[in-house]
Amino acid sequence: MNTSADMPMIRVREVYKSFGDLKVLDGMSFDVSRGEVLAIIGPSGSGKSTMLRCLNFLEEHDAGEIFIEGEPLGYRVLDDGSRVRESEAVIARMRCDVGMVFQSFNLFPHRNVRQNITMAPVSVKGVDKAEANDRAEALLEKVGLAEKADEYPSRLSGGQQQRVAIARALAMEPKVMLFDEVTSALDPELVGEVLTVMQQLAEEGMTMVIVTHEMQFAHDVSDRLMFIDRGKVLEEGNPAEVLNMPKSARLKDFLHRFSASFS
Amino acid sequence: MFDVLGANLPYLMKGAQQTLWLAIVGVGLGTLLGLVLGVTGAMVGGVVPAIVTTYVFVIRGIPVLVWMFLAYYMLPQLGLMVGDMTAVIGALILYTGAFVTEIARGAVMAVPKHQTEAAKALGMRKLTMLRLVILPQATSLSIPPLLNNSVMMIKATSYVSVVGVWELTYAAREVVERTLAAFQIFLGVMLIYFLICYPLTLAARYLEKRFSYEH
Repeated sequence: MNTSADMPMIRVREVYKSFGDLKVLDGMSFDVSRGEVLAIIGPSGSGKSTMLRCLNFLEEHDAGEIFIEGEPLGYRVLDDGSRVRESEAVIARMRCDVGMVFQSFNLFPHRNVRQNITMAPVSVKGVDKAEANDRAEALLEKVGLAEKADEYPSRLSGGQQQRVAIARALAMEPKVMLFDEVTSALDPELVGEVLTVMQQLAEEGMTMVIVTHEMQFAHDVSDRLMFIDRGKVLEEGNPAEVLNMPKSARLKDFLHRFSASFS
Repeated sequence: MFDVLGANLPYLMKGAQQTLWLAIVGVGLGTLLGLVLGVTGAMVGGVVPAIVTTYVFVIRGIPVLVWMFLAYYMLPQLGLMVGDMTAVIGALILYTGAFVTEIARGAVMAVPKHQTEAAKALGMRKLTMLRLVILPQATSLSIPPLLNNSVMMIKATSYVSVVGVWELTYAAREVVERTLAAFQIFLGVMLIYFLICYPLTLAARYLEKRFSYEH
């Protein structure tokens, strides 16, 4: 039996997923260790977002297993190989440990910034309201939006909304943070402020899985980089090596479009 | 010229009282029924949505007038000895309920999937998500169609006179038969219906503002 210290934070084993006839994940396996920052890159439709969404069970894998700190996510595989779906309560509890930030922010438009951040801690974890408010203030400070606590999301810029979304996810004190192309919907001049917050998180030792098209950011911030194509891991390793010395034709082709060298 | 209206106004107001009662019980309870069915139909899986949809299609596909006749004549035949008032209120509740079910279901479905995903990702379970994320957003979407439907159904209470239930329109017809002053009396009736419906419009406008979040 592994102790939790040497158990990977996330373990993905032979995960398959299809949408109808379309095979999206074709036997994905990888680990993410505690404190590691994993960047996933790949062309559109390669399955990278689907893979990420499987990590908090927003997308349900058809076969294979996913473990968060050794605990099976979504399905329990029995000795005879059959799968049992976990109860909604168990799935919800596990999601508390896995924060997620979306491409389109998805803040709650009917609540102000502070309420967006305190809603889940108070209603899901039963955190005391005053304490949740204090924590929200601290998180807003951290993402540089202390003065926006009383604003409604529609009054914020995309970059500000995304930083609130990060604070909202952090308020649950997750063990892992998932980032799903979080800068893709932003104006170019707003990308930097979001990446800065993410970089800070990485430096603090947060375990992160980042799906991104920001190659330079992936290069600078991630500990490991994974190139996915057609639902398979094609290359993975040290970001600088993977980006500067691609082995497969697919990755060479993919990187060619970014036509930059990464240093 | 309007003396005849003035003289009969107390009688008409009694009829209006009855109309108001039909509206509050029939339309009110019908709206409540529809809200519950609509939200349940949108949130619960299994056979529930099919049952809800069947209810909506059957009730909605037949005029409310016909439902009132059916309730009035059919229930006693089935051995249910209900009063005429109960029969028409039942028809009003079921009919209002069918339309409100669709309004509520539509409003819940109109809350973007992104919102429920964000709630799930934060560890919320279905009921918490419903209470904190879906219903507040669905409420502001459903107020205008709910008002529309309520006003429509309040006016439909006038149909109950066909099976002999006494209310404002019935009272008006009696007065007209007695006085032959159709124009004056129905002008008065028109005003009374308007006075019943207009506050509802104001309330809806207030609620719409209260629940809107595009600040």
